[in-house]
Amino acid sequence: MPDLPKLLLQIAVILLMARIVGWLFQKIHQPQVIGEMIAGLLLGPSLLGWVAPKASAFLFPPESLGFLSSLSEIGLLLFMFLVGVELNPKILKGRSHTAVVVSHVSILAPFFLGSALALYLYPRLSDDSVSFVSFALFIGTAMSITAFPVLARILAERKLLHTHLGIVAIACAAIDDVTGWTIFAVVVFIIRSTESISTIWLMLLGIIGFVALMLFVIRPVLKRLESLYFKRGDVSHNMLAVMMLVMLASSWVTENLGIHALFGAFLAGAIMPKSENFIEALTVKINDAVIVLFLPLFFAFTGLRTSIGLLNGTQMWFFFGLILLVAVLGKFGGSSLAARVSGMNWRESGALGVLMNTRGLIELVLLNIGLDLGVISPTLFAMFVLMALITTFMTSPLLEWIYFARLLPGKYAPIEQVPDKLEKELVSHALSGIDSGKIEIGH
Amino acid sequence: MVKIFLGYIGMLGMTLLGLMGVLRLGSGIEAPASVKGTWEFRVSGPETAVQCTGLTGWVGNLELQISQSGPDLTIHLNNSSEITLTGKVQDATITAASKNPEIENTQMMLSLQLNRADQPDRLQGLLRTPNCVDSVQLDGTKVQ
Repeated sequence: MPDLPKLLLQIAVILLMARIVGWLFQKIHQPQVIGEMIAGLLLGPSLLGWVAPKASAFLFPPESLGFLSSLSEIGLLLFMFLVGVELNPKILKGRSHTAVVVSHVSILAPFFLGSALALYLYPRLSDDSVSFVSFALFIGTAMSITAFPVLARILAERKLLHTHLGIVAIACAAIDDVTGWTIFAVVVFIIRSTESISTIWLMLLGIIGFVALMLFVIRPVLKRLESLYFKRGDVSHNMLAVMMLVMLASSWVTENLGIHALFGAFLAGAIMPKSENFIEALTVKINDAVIVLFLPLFFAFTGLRTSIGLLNGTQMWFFFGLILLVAVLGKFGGSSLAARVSGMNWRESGALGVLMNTRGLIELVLLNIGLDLGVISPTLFAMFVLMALITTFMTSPLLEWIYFARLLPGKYAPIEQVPDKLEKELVSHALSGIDSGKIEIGH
Repeated sequence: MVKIFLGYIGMLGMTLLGLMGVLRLGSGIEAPASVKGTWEFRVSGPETAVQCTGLTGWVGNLELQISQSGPDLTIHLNNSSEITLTGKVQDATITAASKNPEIENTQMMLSLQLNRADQPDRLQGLLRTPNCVDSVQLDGTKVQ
């Protein structure tokens, strides 16, 4: 049984810290979500446990963390469902080759560099309970993630969604989302595959069959919910319950098939009908609770697992420096070069590279899975959490420095002057998400 | 357009080839033995040593929580945050000493052996304190 008073106190402290630090970060022109991530870190052993160990032991005794963990897991399932829901297939279907090429290079370059870095890190930060293949694939994936919602928020704040850069960046990040999560699902499957070859084949067939079932059987059924929505004018409690059941069932199946429950939630969201009004009505029902309540719990839980103190000594900080360098080189460098080769000018290419280097919350999700699977040690986890925070934090100031859209004429015209109908739709979709608060604080 | 497409295919192929090369290279790299987790130890040895090391209350009841990052280890005794040892695992040998030797009654040195091939869930070795001539023997198994 949970210690209810303790759990309520924990939630209250976490929410309060998240709001205060989030607000402070807004004041320095950073997305609020970065402040919330830092708030989680401050509540863990890196600050509270260090300066006030007794208060930390009273507030977050180890035996109470299981309940906090369960709550944050539920929140993550809902969040991944929303990420899938807000995935606009128009972005993926109709994008220019530039977006596809840049997006894939922005995954492949850091993936390769990360895997190569694993050659150096494996004997120094891992042990023989983890195979090199699992370690290298995980490090590669952790290097190649982009946080689509944070990126959309930054573009909106800087009024760049209307520009050529904004449209390409949104498309790249959306393609990154789909590709990144697919690669990660495969990596998790490989890491978890300790069964016999025949069982692995059975599980693989099961995954393919399940994805086909979701696409060709469940999706048409969900289309009827959309029709019902247009008749009624709102998403009823029963309709919402059906969608939640689909999400929970999908998460349960993917967890049992050897990939993670979060992929099931993402898939359930991705197959939801995509008309703008329906998506808005659905997300409004779930979004506020996820953003205000559940995600800060996840950040706090991540913070409680992150001990910056583990980076003791110059050698550890050297390893961290290498990780940060490779992460930035791979993501920023890869995206920028690919954009330049695809015909964008240097300034735009650099700005796109900066945007794609944003890792945010999505990286934290991935790292927590890696720690749970035992692929990375707590020390490596702390290094990657720091890397995620720094690469997210650096985005706004670097963008401001590289890309002065307001001063640049011509190509950076407002959307009304861009002839492509699809691009107009993309921008209006992204803006509707922000206006409705879907990505209000940039997760 | 054709140039971009060909460049894209070439880059994809090169990256995949590079990745395969990395995985092949990495398969020859050996990581330190895994000793992380919770271990339960039976404490034995001359009575004088057990008393001298202050381990009388722990006979048959010593638990070590080992955190590991590569060869570096942090070891907590009986879930105590006061007694923390730091050390290394090299090949099959663990050596560790008190993290804060200035704190009284927490000065300890640990030396353990792992049989990687036959009994990877068993550690055997010695625990010493500076003031004692004799060491206590430890024989433990992994419980978690």
